Amino acid sequence: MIPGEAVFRRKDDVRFRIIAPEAIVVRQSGPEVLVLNEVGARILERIDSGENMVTLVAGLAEEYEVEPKRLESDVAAFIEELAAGGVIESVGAADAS
Amino acid sequence: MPPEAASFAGLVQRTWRENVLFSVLVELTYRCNLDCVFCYNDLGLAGVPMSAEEWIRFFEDLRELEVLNLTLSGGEPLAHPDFLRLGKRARELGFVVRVKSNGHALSGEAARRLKDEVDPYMVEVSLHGSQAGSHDRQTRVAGSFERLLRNVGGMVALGLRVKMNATLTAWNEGEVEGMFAIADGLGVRLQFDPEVTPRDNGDRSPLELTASRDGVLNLLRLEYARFGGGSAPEVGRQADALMAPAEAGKHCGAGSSGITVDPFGNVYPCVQWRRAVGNLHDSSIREIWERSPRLQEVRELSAEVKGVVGKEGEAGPLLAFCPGTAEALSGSPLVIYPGARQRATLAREAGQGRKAIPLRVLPGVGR
Repeated sequence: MIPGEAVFRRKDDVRFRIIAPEAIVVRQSGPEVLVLNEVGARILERIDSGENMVTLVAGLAEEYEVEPKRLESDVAAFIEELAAGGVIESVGAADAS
Repeated sequence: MPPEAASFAGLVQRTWRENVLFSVLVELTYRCNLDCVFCYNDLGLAGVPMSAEEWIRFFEDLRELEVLNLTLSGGEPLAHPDFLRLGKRARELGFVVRVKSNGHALSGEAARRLKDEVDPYMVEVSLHGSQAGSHDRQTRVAGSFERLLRNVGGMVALGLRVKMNATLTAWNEGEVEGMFAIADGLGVRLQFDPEVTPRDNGDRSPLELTASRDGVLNLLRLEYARFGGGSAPEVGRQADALMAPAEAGKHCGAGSSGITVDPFGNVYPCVQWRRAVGNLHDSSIREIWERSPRLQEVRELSAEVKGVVGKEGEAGPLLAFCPGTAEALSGSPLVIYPGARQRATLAREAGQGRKAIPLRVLPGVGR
């Protein structure tokens, strides 16, 4: 469960470009390339703009017609996936390191 | 609406189809600390050099256009007096930065500063042979072979991702196995281009170094053996591991997803296709990208090339056909040149008994 006030940011070695509506993510430290669909791209864009979980989910809810609980759990799962893949990190965790 | 990964191949197709500028190669300078006998640069080219400020403005324009890949090339890019400043700015703007260098200057402190200040995704250097005799003969600088190997080892130790590029020539075609052994020993990838090309001013004298038929066949056999039929041997005038062949109504991404800029601001569809489509002293890259009639013509030609290559049937992908090379050799990007035909024949021969593996010429950012 990700707290509503949690804020994430893109890791320093990650390059990210929108090729609307999709996005491409490259980790400098690894050879893998990640391609995000429109929703994934919007989530990473919102993370880049410094939104916390509450604002991010609320913003997406205005853009997409999705049942709120489903949206919240999908976003949380995706963020955990991005974090596990070394694409993003929790701002608190980064500051502590 | 799970935000699962979309297809990378699909995205690349879209950059070609929709003319999304994705990869840019800049030739910062034609100065060089080596003197390679088959160098393709037009050293007599005249014009007003791009200033460091103009390069930086250009990089910022590319950022606005959401360009991802930026390759700093030359000549020898490190010979540009503002190389580190430009590289650092490229990093700050969030590009996936590649540096195409001969590796000669990348020792000790220079390599460390490259890592710390530019932090490139990849450094590509040139290997000319498996021993000093052949390597130094091609670079025309004594000691360049030993220095390259030392510098590559140092860069790898620093954590830089290094790749070696090699052009197969009559002088090194007997050393291919040894060259792969060197790369393997250093823990880096080696990519061959079996084709020597004319200089960008049309001078064909480099073609005298073209490898023999047997030399190309030997290279292809070795590549088939090394790749084990699992992935396509790449034709190494190209260096962008992020790109992939795409079915997008065009033959390649030249002028559709990539461009090359020379030290004087001339913009070309690709490092290989030296048909100027605009100049950055006169127009912004956005203006050129969106409104250059010559660039539009290139895009239309790329679609025509696809048709020409498609008529070759199964041999088509084995040609590794490059419209830029075709234009340099025959004046037309639509004429399949003898080297491409020979390559297709040899690729079939090399792959006898196995499924033919198409050679790939990946679009846009290197040579």
